[in-house]
Amino acid sequence: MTERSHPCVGWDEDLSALIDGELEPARRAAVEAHAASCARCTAQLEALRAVDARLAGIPLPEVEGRLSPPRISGEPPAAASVEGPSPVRSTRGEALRPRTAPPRSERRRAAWKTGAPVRIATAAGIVLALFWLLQPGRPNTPPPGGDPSPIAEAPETLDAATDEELALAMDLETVEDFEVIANLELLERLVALEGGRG
Amino acid sequence: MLAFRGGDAGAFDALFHRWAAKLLRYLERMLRDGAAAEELVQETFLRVHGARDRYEPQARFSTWLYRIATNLALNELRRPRRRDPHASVDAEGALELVAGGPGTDDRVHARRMSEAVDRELAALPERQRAALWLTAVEGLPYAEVGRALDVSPQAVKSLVHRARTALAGRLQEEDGEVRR
Repeated sequence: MTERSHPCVGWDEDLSALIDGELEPARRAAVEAHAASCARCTAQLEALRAVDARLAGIPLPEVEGRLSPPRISGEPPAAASVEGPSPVRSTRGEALRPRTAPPRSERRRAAWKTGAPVRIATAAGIVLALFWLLQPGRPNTPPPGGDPSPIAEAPETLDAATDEELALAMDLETVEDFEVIANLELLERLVALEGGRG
Repeated sequence: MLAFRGGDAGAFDALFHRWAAKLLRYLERMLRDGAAAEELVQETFLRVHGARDRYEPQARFSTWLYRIATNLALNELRRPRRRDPHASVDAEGALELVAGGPGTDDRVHARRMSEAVDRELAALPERQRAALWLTAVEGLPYAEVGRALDVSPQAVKSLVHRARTALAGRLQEEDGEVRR
């Protein structure tokens, strides 16, 4: 009998559901009865259960007294926080950083605030570069010997941005977090200004 | 959770101490980065605190907690230029191998087996990894895993089975190589 014609091919997922206790009683009885007489399903069940056994062998990391509840602003610090952080070990035995840094969301907000002028300039550079590229009468080469216009300098502005700044600018979550819509208004004004020049 | 929602500040600490280790273990598997996982444990509980008024008593706290943690983990995995933590894990294993000592063979074997599970888990697609872990290790029903991952229970059944089958095949191969 080929594997394709085997009666239980096509309902392998029920073997996992059997392990997870997710089958209705009638279906469970049918699958169990079949598996008991089918070498293929018996082997498959054994292999799938072995996976769960391996996963169950992954120990819990030690966090008791080491990983403190986060401090909520406006609330007094918990006793564990006053004592100071102690080393935390993961399940792989690696030392985790003590809880002295503010949460990731706060750090990202702070980073955004401190780097906002650079990022706004970078975003403006992108818009100006796009505007320049999309101009209908744009010459292929800049005029020789002429003073470079702000528009012609736009690609250099882009080059000046670090990879991290560009990555942050493209991070959707960051865009949502920091309401770049407000900056879009600024960008729209810049586009309108450039349009007025042309 | 109800006591915490009612304004009992001590209940928040109790929730943290009850769930932090499990959450850290889950997030370590999702991210393969101990430091990032630890940060997300903190972030998850900050969000629990911030959203406590929206907690519905008929929902299991674990489902709510893992839903927040899973969303944070998936966002973290999508962040550009995430550093690759694999190198440090491999280097750590290499150091232990060099150390030697009594019972080294057994410990090295156990260590390799444990690393193999972690490595193969990490190789699974994110949603399969999350579905399998939440079902097989944390014992959440398909319906609740579905709420955490924002998919149907039938989709969870499929994700779990694909993950389990893939892991079974890869671990059998790895175990064969380790024994050689």
